[in-house]
Amino acid sequence: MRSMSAPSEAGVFRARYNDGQAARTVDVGVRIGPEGVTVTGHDGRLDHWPADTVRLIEKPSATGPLRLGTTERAGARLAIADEAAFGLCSRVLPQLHAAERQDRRVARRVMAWGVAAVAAVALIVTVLIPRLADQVAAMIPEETEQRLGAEVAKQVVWLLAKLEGRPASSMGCSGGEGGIALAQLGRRLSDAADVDRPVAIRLIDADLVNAFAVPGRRIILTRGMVEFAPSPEALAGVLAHEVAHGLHHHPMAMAVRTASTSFLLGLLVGDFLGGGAVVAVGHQMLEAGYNRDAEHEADLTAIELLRRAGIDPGPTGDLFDAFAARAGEMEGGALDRYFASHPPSAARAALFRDAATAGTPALPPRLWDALRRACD
Amino acid sequence: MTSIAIDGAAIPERPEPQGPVWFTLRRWPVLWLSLRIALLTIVTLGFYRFWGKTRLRQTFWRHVSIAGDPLEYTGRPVELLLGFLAAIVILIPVFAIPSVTGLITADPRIVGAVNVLQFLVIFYLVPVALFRARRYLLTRTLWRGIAFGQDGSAFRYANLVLRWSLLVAVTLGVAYPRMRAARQRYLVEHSWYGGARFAFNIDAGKLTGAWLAALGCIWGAVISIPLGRALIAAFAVAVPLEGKAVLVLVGVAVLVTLGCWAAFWVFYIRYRVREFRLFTTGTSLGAVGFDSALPARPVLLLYMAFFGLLLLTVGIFFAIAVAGSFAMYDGRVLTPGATTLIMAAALLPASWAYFVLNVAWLRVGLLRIACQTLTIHNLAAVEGVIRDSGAQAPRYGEGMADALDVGAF
Repeated sequence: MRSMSAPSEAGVFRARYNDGQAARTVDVGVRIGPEGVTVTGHDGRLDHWPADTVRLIEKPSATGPLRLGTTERAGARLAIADEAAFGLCSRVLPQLHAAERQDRRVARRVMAWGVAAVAAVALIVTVLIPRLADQVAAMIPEETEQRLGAEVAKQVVWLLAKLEGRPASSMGCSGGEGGIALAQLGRRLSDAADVDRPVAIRLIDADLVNAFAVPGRRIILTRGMVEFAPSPEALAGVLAHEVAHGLHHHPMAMAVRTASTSFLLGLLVGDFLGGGAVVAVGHQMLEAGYNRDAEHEADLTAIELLRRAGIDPGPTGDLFDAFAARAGEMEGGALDRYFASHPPSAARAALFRDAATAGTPALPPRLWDALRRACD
Repeated sequence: MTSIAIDGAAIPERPEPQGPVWFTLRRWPVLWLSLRIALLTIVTLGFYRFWGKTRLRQTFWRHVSIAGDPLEYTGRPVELLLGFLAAIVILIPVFAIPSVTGLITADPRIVGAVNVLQFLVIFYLVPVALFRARRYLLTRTLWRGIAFGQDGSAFRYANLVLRWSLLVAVTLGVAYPRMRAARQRYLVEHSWYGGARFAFNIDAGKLTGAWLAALGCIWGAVISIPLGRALIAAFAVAVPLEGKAVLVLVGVAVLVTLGCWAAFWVFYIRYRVREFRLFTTGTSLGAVGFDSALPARPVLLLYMAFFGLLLLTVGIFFAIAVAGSFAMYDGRVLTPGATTLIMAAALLPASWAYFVLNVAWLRVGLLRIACQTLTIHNLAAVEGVIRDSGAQAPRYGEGMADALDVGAF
């Protein structure tokens, strides 16, 4: 029986040829077959590319001809206009798509590493950095925290002054009887917290209803908050909450977290196409979530401090009810929960009210009046 | 016309080489391509951008033909990725040190000094990044199978930029064209095609007129703010004014400032076009010469259309975002969640729109008009150029430029 070998396919085409050595393009004829590509010009045979060295440079399309290259010689190129050539090449040249295949392999590997990297970063940002930030914050030496706190306090007062449109130097009202009242409250809470250095409370003449805990066991209290508080016990609750933040090193931890998270995310993302916006949104959500946990922790510790100082936590619940009423118009829909930095006020009010016990007045009426008039 | 036969097919005589440069890319295919690339880049959190850049460059290069032969881009995405990773390693301390300093010391003088230092380091690194990115681009560009190249040192280039920048600052901007010429000279005189080096020969003085017009606008814009304020204050003292009149005066002052900035952009584009023509004419490769007749008005219109389209697209997205949050929050727009969402929903598409419009509208238009108005003299002389076998080509590239976000294309 005679064996039949398949007829070997071959074709001859016109082409433009670069030899990769000189910047010249020559019109040539090429023969493509299983042995490879043979290039013939005016003066005879110019080049031969063995079949397994031929690579596809560019597929033929509406905008350009088929382009071939070879691994034997960098820069050697053939441009073939005939449409039949591509099919023939695909059939007889085994390694034609080897470069493409290699690129795809590399791309797949990169994707795998990329996914792993993203997962690692996500883990670091959501779990590792917050944990470490707490540790790092607790380890920072007392005096560094004090110095940092002094600077931050200056910034906060400066900002509040800007809001009120007044010079920063006119903002303080910690003197006189009001100052004594604050010092007394501060000492009572510090004793309850069992720390050697008492907390320093600064009263600032601003309309804003707020109190800030600053690194180094400093608290900045606004006149607005003093006026908003229905009773000295309620105010003591707010101050106890801020003292609790300081005890847990929350302000410091937040600074560490913010610095490391935004730095890490920003560097990795390299500001592609709005990556900055993605990072900002993600960051806000993370921070907000973490802050809510910190706030809750501070609430629980505050209740404990109030109890130890012999102050009834109940009136603080009334204060949060008042907050809730005020903020009622402000709270949006379901999505706001993810961005809010505090737990809902109604829940906090309930927390403090449930802890109500008997207690002694936080301040004698005379000092309470003096405090409310301190900024006049 | 002689022809020889090979296995039956006839080969025609080689036609004479021609000078024109063709750019055959149309806008619509690029639009779809860049939209796809933008989408994939978002979805992969930025990883895809190396593949996207490579695809774009391959497309653009392929459609530029000189004397019938197209350019070819041989860069690989992996090279860009590796370059990026390498650059991050260097940049980590540059970005980390100020953050850490802010934490361990609260002294604003030290923090300020460290931030200034960081700015200077980045200022110095930008030309380094640009130089290396250009070298990568050139060594990955082939024409007729021969690659371009670039030697020289990125740090020498950065030093040059630093020196000239100081001079520009000292002369309040007047030395700007000479700085640009000095930079271009260094780059061009260290550029190669195969074994042939490019040469650069111009008279930067020819650019003075065009530049001073633009510089005058900057000075005008900068002075107009304090000047306006002082004038209004003096006016208000001399003539007691009521609220509305003051508002009108302030409005006029703001308009003057904005007008100065708008005029600056117009004059600056005209300056850059003239600079491009001068630089092109001054560039040569052996006996091969170049000339550009790039006209200023079409370029200006191109940029204005670009900004117009950008504002339109961003405006539409912004409107959609606000309307959407209205619907979601029953008209309460100012809650923290709503505001963040609006900003994100408006900013993200804005940067996509910028990318897509920049590539598909601006770059295509600019390249087309630049190629159409480019002429090459003595192109036949290029055939003597031989491949440079000893050329230095970086194995990966552009990482610094990508990480610092300069020279995006």
